[in-house]
Amino acid sequence: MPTAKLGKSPGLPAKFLILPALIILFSIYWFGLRQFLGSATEYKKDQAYLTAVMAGKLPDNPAPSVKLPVRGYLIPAASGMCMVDAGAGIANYLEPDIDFDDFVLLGTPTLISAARNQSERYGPGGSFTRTFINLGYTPFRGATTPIHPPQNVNMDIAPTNLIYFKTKEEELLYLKRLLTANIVPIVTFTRDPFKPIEGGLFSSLVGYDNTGVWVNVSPPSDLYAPGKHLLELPQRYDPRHLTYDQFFKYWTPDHQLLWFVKTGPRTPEAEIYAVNKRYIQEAPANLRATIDFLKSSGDLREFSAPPDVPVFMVLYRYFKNQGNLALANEYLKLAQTYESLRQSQAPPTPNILLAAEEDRQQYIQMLEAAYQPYLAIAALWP
Amino acid sequence: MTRRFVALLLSLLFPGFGHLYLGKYTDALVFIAGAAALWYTIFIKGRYLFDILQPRFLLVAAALAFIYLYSALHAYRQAR
Repeated sequence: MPTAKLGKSPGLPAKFLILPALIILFSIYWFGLRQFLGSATEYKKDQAYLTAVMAGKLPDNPAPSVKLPVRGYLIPAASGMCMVDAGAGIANYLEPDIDFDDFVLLGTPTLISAARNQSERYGPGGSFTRTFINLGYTPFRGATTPIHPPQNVNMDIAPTNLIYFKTKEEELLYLKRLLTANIVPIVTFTRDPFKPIEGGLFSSLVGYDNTGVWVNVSPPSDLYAPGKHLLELPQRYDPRHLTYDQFFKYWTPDHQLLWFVKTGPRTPEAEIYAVNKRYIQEAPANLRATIDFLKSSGDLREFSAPPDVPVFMVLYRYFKNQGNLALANEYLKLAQTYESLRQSQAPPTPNILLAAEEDRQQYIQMLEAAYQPYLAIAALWP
Repeated sequence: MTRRFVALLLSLLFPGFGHLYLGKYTDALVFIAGAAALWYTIFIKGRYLFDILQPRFLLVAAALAFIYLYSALHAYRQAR
């Protein structure tokens, strides 16, 4: 048998290639494959923590079936409001004195983020998770990957409360235990499970039986048409049934779920108001920073484009009820400006290579139109 | 162990490394760029979103497997 030898090669020596190749291989595993291969250590740690923190709050075994009377909110004039729809519906069920407007006002309706710290991206920073915290709840996130989105995506969820589940079946069992304990979770879908509309969707999951689950997904409505129905209030709607096959088919690949556990008292409203007043005073400068970020081709994953028009209308109603008509009308004008811009903007392009840049330009247009109104609003805020 | 097996093993560690060993730098660049693009697709563009059973993951995984195997075989045959 010939002795092994490394013959001369016209290229780079093998000994200089092996180490870099091994480093690359290790990097691929550490930064990427771990999320697919799972992490036993992470799983044990997360599950041990979850068991401890939820001790006494959940039954060991779920009931055979549960259907909680949780209804969603169909919100006029905008799409992309699924988070607020789901969260407000749950909050109204758990805290009956909290309606849709209260839910928005108790969050961060005036925040404009500008990546000032690890918890912020750029853009309007309306956080429905903050509402639950202000109502005395602690938020949790579960997923079937040990790698969670960065803190600026889950800005109000403590890193220790990001929980790794191994399988979707394990998560489904946990969902059932939550519902049995009257804790209403939110799941995310890759698209609307009831009609062919693409795009991520947050949905409250309010019940289950031996054939499937009940979820709140807002039905088709002409209330969504931009430029119309601006002054109408959100309408309630009932959950619909999905089979387990359909549920697993549309559940996001990381099987994200969110839930909120009552752990303390509500934050005083005066404190929430003071925080939002500070946010609105910082808003014009942060808005300018966000516009500059988008114009310099910043990564769109660092930009959040959450609720705008419905939040403006909540603030319009709030200040109108307070008798502050000047400020109320500024919010109404801002909502009308956004609505007319949306009517004038082209429909989304099917060209996936151009879609991101088109989104960027539309965001810039909307934010630039909002800048002067925000200056006026910041000056008028009592 | 001959040059062929060294080239094959290096390419199995990462596509194109066997070609770097053989001095086939253009081939190396093509394989390295191709594999890097596919890994980028999975872990940067698709982070948090890939499910191992979804068709798009299977497509990218199949493309990766192909590029690894083809690079190794190509390097092996180039090293005569």
